[in-house]
Amino acid sequence: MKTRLLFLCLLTAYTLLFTGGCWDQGELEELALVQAIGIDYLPQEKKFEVTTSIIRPGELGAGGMEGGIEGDAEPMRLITTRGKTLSGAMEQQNAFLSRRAYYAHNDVVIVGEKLASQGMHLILDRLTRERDTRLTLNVFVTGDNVKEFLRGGSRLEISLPQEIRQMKLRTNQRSLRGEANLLDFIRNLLQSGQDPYLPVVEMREETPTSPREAEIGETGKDGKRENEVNGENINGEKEESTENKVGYPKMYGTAVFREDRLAGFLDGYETKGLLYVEESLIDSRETINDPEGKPGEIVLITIDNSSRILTEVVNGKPRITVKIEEEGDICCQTSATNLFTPENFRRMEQSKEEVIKGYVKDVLEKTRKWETDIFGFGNKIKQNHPGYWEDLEKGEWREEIYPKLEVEIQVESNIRRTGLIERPPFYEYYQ
Amino acid sequence: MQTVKISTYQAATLLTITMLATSILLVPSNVASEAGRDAWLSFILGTLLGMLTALLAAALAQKHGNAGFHAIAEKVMGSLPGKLLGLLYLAFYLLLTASLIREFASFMATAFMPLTPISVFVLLFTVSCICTAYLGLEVIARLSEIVLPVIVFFLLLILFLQSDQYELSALLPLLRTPPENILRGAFVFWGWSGQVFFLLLLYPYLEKPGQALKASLIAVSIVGFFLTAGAFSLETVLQYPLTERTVFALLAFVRLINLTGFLLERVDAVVIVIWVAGAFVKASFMLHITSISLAQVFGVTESRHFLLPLAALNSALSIFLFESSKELETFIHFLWPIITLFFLVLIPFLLYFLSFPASKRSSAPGNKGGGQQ
Amino acid sequence: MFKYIKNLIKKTRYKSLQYSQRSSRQPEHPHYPVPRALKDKTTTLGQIIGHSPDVIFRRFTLGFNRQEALAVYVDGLVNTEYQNESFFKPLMALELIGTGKASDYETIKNSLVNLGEINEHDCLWAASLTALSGDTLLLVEGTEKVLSVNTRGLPERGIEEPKRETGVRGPHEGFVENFRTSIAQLRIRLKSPDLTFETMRGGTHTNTDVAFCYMKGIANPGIVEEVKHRLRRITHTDNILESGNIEELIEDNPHSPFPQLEITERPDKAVSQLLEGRVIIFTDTTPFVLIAPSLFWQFIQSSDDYYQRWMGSFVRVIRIIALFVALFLPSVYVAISSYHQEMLPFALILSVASVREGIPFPVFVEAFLMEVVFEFLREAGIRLPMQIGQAVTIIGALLIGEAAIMANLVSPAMLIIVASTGIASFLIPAFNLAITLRLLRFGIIIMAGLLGLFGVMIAFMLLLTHLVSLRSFGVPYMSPLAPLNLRDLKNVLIRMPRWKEDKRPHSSRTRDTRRQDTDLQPGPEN
Repeated sequence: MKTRLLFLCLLTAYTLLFTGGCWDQGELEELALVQAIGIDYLPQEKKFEVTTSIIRPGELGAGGMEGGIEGDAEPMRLITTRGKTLSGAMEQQNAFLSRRAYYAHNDVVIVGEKLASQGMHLILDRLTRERDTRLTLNVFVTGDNVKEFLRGGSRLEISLPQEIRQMKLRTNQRSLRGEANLLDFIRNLLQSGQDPYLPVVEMREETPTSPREAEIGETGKDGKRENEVNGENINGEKEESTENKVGYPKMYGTAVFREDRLAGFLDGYETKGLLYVEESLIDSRETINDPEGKPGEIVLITIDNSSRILTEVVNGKPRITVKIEEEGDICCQTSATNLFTPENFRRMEQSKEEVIKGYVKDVLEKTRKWETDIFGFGNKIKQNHPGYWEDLEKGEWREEIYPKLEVEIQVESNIRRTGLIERPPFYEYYQ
Repeated sequence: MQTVKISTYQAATLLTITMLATSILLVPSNVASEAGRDAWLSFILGTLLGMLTALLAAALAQKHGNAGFHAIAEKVMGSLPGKLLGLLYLAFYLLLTASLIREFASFMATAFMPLTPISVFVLLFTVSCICTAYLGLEVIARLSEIVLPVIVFFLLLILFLQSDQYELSALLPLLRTPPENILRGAFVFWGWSGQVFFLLLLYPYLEKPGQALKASLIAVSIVGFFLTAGAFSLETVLQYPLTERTVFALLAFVRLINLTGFLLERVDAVVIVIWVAGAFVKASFMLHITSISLAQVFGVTESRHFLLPLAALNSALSIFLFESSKELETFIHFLWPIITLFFLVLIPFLLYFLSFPASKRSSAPGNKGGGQQ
Repeated sequence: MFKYIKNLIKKTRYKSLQYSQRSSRQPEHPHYPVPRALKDKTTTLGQIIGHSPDVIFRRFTLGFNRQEALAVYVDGLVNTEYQNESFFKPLMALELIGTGKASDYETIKNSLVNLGEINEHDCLWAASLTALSGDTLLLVEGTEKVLSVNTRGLPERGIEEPKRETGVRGPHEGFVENFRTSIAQLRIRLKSPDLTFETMRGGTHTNTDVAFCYMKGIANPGIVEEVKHRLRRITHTDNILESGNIEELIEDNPHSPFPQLEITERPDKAVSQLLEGRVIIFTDTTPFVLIAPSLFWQFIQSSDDYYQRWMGSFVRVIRIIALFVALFLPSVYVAISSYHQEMLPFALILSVASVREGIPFPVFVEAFLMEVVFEFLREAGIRLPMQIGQAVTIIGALLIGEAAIMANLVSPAMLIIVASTGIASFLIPAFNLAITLRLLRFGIIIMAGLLGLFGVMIAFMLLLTHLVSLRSFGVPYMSPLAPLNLRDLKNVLIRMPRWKEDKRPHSSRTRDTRRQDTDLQPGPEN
């Protein structure tokens, strides 16, 4: 029996040696590791323009260790190709490469505004069918030129794609930008009664002489914020030097789709409204006025938030109640008020509730105009009142009901802790 | 060598792997395309159907003094018709094994090694499996004993790693799928849960035949649990329309695991482990079963001589039977449940029905077997 | 194909035939009857042993009856002090003691030789064998018997700490080459009349003493009988130099790469194995004893586990992980980095890719070369004297590794993989299993290089198939994992507290299953 087993083992070895032939074998150094893909659509030529950002591993870590050269050589290479389809354009890439373009470790896809308004269906299939892309892909929309965008530099990480990826994946602070990846996008797209959205990235150009300069942040006041579109009013404040600008990425706002077509952009504060409803806000700070009306502001941090969407259909008319519960701490005070009275606490909570309500209302207003239901109210109606939903005609929800939908927003804020001090240090001087 | 005996636990693990190995990867998307959001209900129903099959198989065996299926067939139908039926079943085993091997190869090629010719997987896999089948049922049973905990561990790990993604509301609205679709889904799953029928072939080798029914019911429940839990997770993570669009739903599910901080991302290798280990044991078991049935039908004592020709036949069949993976999928989805119904339920039921007058004549073993339940 | 099947049938038949033949054949000794006359005895014995310089034929006159006598012994094997004091002195010097009707021979046997162990032989061949193991033969006129007196004083190494099985805790003494001393070491630890020995001689020329022992009330008689049956084979070979020679002759599957008999140098380990119902086989001239039957898990356990508190469990889990690392790490690395790059975690891809940059070999070749070099180093380290061995290892590891990386021949990642594999394989306590793992590792690397993870998995399944099909003296090798026995299993993967271990392992089918009382869990007395 043992000799027979041995014989079989030999047979296996034989089969192995003569049939196994390393078809899929390939070394890491034979791959061009794509770190980011930028995709845009050229409507005149009806072509896709694909820009890949490929890393040269030789310029990383190990090179620095040996020669002591501080990574002066740029580790990224950009290649732009065009094609009738996304896949076709991607194939063209290989004409410029000594290694096979390898997309499996690409985590960042930047979609140009033109492509997004043309319809994401043009690329969705390619991003899900082939085995080298995963549904956890991070897809972003940009209003800038995609090719120019990928030329940008990075502040903290080794390269722009890394920087964008880390920005997106960071788990300890999330606000001001939409939280969605490819899977979320597809799920929302496929679910009737829901529309998808994606985070937005844009380029902030700066002079290379001051790469460490921090961007001036937007301050909100009183819930009414200085609406800035694509950072225009900030740019105005900055010192301009026209030559040799280097762009740095900024992830801010949300791109809202109607079905798979771009409908419009939400800015960072409106995005907060979306995030409050989606429960995916982490470490968000809201600025409110002093509860006693004195000059100065209070900043409240949101630690924990939860939301529920309640639905009911009364007399054949759907009604939505959004209940948001959140709690947080005081994290900053510029006014000289003693906040530690029950009334002031209640007032602060109320004004925070108003601020949040304002965020959500703004989103609702915009999306009603665009006829896109990114909150998924329709989906909730479908889940809870399937009978009502099935009687609706196609497109009826989005075009007729949603814009006039009765939505009540209830926010309950709780201030739990005060930080390390109670009254501010300057309290006595300004009394 | 005649006294090969396997324990109840081994029988249970063997049957579990037979049902679980290939279904966990292929069936969820097929069932989802029938039953949609309520696929989990289809799986529960399919599990119940599997349990009925187990009951039928156990009843049939106990009526005939714990004999194997082919012996029963010859006893009930007479020698020649019984042997002819045995031949029919041999064709069925061949079809099952060939499609299993093809599923295996097709999955490996689609998901992991697209450039490698499918025949490489088929040949290597089959040759490796006959090595195991060669060593007999005892070795296969012991192998299944080790492999099943591994599979179960990895399946639980997968389900656990995604547990923060579960969105229960995605299961709503409940039960809006037409009942006939849910039933059709259950029927598709039955093509696998019905394979608990192979219990009938294990009967002569059981240490304690009285516990066979228990073992098979446990096996069906384990499989039912994992498939239902799998369907449940798929519905809540991938969510409905997407579940039916993926070919290998489990693979899609695993590819989503992304715990970057713990280096637990891109753990597709887990699927290879589950899939190769499970399919390996199942194919070895099937090859062994085919060879012993062949030996029994032709009255040969040494069944192992059949293994090599069988392996050759199976490899050839698995390559030439299906033109493309779509054909294979259609076969699994539409044809396989009907074949299963015919072979694993109708014929055993017929035999059971036919054996009533026979049992009157020799009622003692039948009653005794019934009492053990 | 038909030829293959025909061959199979032929082989089965042939094999069963061989078996029946072997069991009927008995070992044959030439028989030399003892002649009555002393002169004839001397001649015959001279023919048998020959006149080697170390074989001493000493003629002397018996003190009490003034007759000629001959003492035959091998110089160097006898303790001359004892011999003079208790053998020659009474025989030569004593005039007469006692009166009786007994013959001269009987008088000598019963009254004159004052040494404990004496044996009578009526075959000169058998008698000469005892002389060759250190006995002194006494040949006298007028009897057909030869007296052999145990005057053994063999050159012997002192008891030392076992080299291969050092432990943090536990006795610092190991078996020695002289198996009588070894048996004594065992006896000291196991003062039980249940301990039963059976002896035999192995090797037609070496005539090595082989003894196997077991606990009569514990060991399964079937297993003991099987050991005895298989040990018969050793009498048909011409030499038994080490227990390894015996191992090869009695194991179940001689083609398997896996060791099926555990070896140990530690008397304490031998005792604990005896108490688990196993059989210990002693071989003279080697400190290594064999344990039969042995299960796979025994090879990754060490006696240390049982002397530490239940924290030994932790070490055991670490060893099981090391087992998998030693076997699969390089092949999984090869498979993933040359077939399934998409499975490399994002955090690793850049570091791995950057160190791979500019390496001339494919990962498969790189892994293979590095493993071979590593094997060179290890083998060099073992064969050389300890001081030089260490130097070689250090020079080899540091210089070659460093230089290879500087020259960009090998990537640091591969060096890390090979080094951790090597270290993991050092964690396996049993040297014979470690060799097996090293060999199998190469096979799996080849599979990985040819077919990626699919190859690795197929190799793993075949390995598993082989392991579960193995038996050691009828006991399934992988038990208690397969066939599953939950009670035994918890003592394999981890180590249960001492007071919990109230049963002997089921796998050795012991007669007496109870090891201790069940209520031994300590705690403050109430």
